[in-house]
Amino acid sequence: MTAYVIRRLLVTPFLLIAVSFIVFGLIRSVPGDPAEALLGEKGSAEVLAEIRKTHGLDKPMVEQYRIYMTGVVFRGDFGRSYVHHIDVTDEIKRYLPATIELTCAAMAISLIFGVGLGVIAAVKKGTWVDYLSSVIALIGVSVPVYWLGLLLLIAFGKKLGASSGNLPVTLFIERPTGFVLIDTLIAGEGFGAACRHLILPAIALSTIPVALIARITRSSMLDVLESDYVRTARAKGVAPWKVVMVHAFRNALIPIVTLAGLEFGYLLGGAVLTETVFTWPGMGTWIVKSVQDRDYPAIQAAVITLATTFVLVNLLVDILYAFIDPRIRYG
Amino acid sequence: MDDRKLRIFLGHRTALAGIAILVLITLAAGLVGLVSPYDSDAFGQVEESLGPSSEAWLGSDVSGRDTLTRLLFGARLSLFIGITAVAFSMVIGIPLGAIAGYFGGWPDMVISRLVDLMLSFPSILLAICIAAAMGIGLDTVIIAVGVVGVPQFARQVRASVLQIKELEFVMASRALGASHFRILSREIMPHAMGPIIVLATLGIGTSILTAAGLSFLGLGVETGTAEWGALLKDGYTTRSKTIWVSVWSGLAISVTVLAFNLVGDGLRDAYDPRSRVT
Repeated sequence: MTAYVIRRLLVTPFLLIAVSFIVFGLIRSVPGDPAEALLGEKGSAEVLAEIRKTHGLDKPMVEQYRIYMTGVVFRGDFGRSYVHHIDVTDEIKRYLPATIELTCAAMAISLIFGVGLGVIAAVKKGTWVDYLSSVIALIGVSVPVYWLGLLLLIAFGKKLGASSGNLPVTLFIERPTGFVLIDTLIAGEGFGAACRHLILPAIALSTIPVALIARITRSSMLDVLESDYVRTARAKGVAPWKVVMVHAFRNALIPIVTLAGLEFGYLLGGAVLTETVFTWPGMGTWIVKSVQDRDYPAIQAAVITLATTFVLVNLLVDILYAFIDPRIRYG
Repeated sequence: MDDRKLRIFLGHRTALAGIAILVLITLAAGLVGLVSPYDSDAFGQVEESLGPSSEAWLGSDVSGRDTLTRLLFGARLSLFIGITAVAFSMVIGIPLGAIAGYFGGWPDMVISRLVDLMLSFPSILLAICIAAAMGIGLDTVIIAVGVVGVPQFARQVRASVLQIKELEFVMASRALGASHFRILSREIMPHAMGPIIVLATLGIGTSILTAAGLSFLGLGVETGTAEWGALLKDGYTTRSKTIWVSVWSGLAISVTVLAFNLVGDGLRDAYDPRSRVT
């Protein structure tokens, strides 16, 4: 197992380099001169040449990539926004915590409802509860999250204090951490409104993970419930709830933990669409705005940051999986 | 599909329901130009922002266009995008997977790492990045969504080819001196088609979802085009006047994706009965 963990840890930096190179290459392939975009139309030929030289924009793409990534890795410098002329790193610090917050809230909902639904469906196999959970699971993977979000907004937005259909952005406070709930708690105002703002996007974002976690929980629980040791426990007269929750559920957890970890990464991507619907002040809202503004350094930094988070979460899940499942022996 | 598989598939009631829904949508989308009294794009044909009524069965948008007519024209485009994006994924993913699985060694290592790399992006982010680089338009959507689907096909085909190439009839063909191309195309690939068909069916649903997501973000087809994601975006921005455009366009996407998922599940059970949910 140690060899497996070390190998995964060694591969990850190369994966991150490849991911960032692809994003960098895609964004650099956009027609237009980055120096002009930085300066606007005001720049003379000499100033533009100077800017190109300073930022290394006159060098080959691989060299530009090296300069960019050196800045990112050693100075945390993602460059400057073409549109707002501010450091992109500051924007990431501002938006990433809110996305992590939304993702965590959606994950919590997914685990509570997905695991609950899956356990009930397994225990009540073949009954209407089981069929209902299958239907919910199938609908969950077929419905666009942004549409479900919109329906929730139409149905409950006004009740939760929305004006003109948009949920309130209660962020005219100091943002020391970037996490909306924590910042409102520190500021001593707006916590209730922030919770109300968070709940609908979290529900919308959790639909697909709820469906998938319910399916995997059901199938994992069914496997365990039919095993000999569970039959033995039942024969010894152990209370039914104890058989399900203590004997069966603990051993059914391994695939659930793995899937939940992987889903956490996918939720980061799904947040892009959900945040847009609910104007949640996270990375998704920022990416969409940056694409509309053609602010390429911002798009580049946002996609690299989210993809890096995704890769690191997957790495953690793989390592965790190796720890919790003693059967795993890689190499 | 042989008789046994066909029998399992035809016994799958939900898959048949999926086929019925898809036939209905395709027929309605094909005939809308002949049957509907309205044009899909011209403004002011009916009263603006109507709810469902006898004049406009599913209501109208803020520009006085019939929602049902636009949805059915949108079905043409959304289905077209879904099918062509999957075709794009297959054209690139299948040969990559076949080469990796058949030849092994360094081609396998290079292709497998490439697939791992593509799977290390959340798909919508990769699609957004491609769309941002290429600019909006129909071809961008197809390429962006198609590229996102490539690793799934490559991985599936590689796994199938690895399994089939060890079978006796393939060894016999090799012993008879058949070329690599002939062995792959005539002996191996016909036996690897089952999982590909399943993946393609499920993939069309996923592609429609991703393409609609791109259009919803304003990175898909041109604004104002009758495509489901763009219609949903129109409905979202004008929801204070009428909610019906967004309600119906989202429902159209959901029902169609659900239908493809049902058919895909049925096909999977037919091709691999062990996968059937207990």
